[in-house]
Amino acid sequence: MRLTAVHRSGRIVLEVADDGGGINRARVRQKAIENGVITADAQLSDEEIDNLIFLPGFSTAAKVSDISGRGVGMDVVRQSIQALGGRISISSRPGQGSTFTLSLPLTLAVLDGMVVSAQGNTLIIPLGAIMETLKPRAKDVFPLDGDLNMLALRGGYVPVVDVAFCLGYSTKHADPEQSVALLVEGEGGARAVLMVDAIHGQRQVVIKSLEANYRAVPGVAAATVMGDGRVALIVDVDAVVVNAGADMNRNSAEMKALELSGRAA
Amino acid sequence: MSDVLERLGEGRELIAFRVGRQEFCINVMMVREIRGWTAATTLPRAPRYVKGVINLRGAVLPIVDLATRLGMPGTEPTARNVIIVVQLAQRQIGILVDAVSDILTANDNLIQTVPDVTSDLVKGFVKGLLPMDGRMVSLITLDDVLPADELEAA
Repeated sequence: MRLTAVHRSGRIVLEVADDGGGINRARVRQKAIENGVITADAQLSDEEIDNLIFLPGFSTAAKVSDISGRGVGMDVVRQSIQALGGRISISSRPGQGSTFTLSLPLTLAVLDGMVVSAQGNTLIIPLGAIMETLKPRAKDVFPLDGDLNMLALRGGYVPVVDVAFCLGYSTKHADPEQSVALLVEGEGGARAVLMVDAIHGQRQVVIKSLEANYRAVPGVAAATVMGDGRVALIVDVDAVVVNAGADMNRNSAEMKALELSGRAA
Repeated sequence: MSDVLERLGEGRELIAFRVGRQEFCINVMMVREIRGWTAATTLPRAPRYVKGVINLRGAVLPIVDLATRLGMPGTEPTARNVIIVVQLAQRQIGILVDAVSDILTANDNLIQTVPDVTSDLVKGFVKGLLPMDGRMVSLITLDDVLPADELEAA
């Protein structure tokens, strides 16, 4: 058993790893078919099979003992973590063991952040997520599928996220030549290049909850108060990286839903 | 209307404020403080009536433009505008209004029901009408002033 805890882009990530037999996927799959959770011909990836163990009442134990076998444990674990705004994922290799990764938000903590601006808005990007900063050249930016651009970077291509556009501050993409780019890496190792207008430097900021008085905002991890007394938003790098390119439609659909709900209320 | 009246408590004191050409009032016990307008930080993916968030002594306070929320033309805030900080259950929010006029003392008999001709939006907020020295003051509820929580998941 190995326990590790790291601080990654505004979240605490706990890993519980064992070197046992790993998840017996054949058995999990068979049990799921028996319970009618999946059909016998369902095509599931290894990851999907692993995630079946979080289902309520799911257990592969043949015998129910005093402490285990009822299929409650993992369901409770996942629900508790989700209630805290966290996530849990499994990676398992047969014969080598399993790793459970618990990622929990930091409620009150200090964060090392990069202060940037996008369309006149001051934003904080968690320093832990930033790999490097660079000055993009227009000839290195290639369009891919409508709103998604790719940046050629040392022989590879990385999706470009225009921060002002993605957060709805601007309706059109900024000129890459006039922007500064930050190469960031999300929790799962996915990379993206965040385009902002300028970088103002590095600062430690106190994380303030947006949820306490408002609600969670997609793409925003939390807020903080700057030296001049104004509120600055902390960018949720993971969410932004995952949604690279898909944002335009999501934005407008969500805005419409919000406006409608406002009118109906 | 009864729920609003119940929460008025003993004193039945209402704070009246102006938004556009209309006057509104809320229970004075909901009000935490009244402060001048300070520039708000725009929130992404927020409805138009959410002006953004400001720093209220270290807490992040969302600001709702009541004019936009009630379907009137939006307020272009200046230093003369006023933010009324109100307590709604566990939350504190700021309501952007044009000006606070006065404190009214009202009793149940004075409050008239809203006629059935108003728009749905107004019906959702306006809970009663108060005649006051030739003015008409609308008693409003702020319970639904913020966007609904369910949309969080969207």
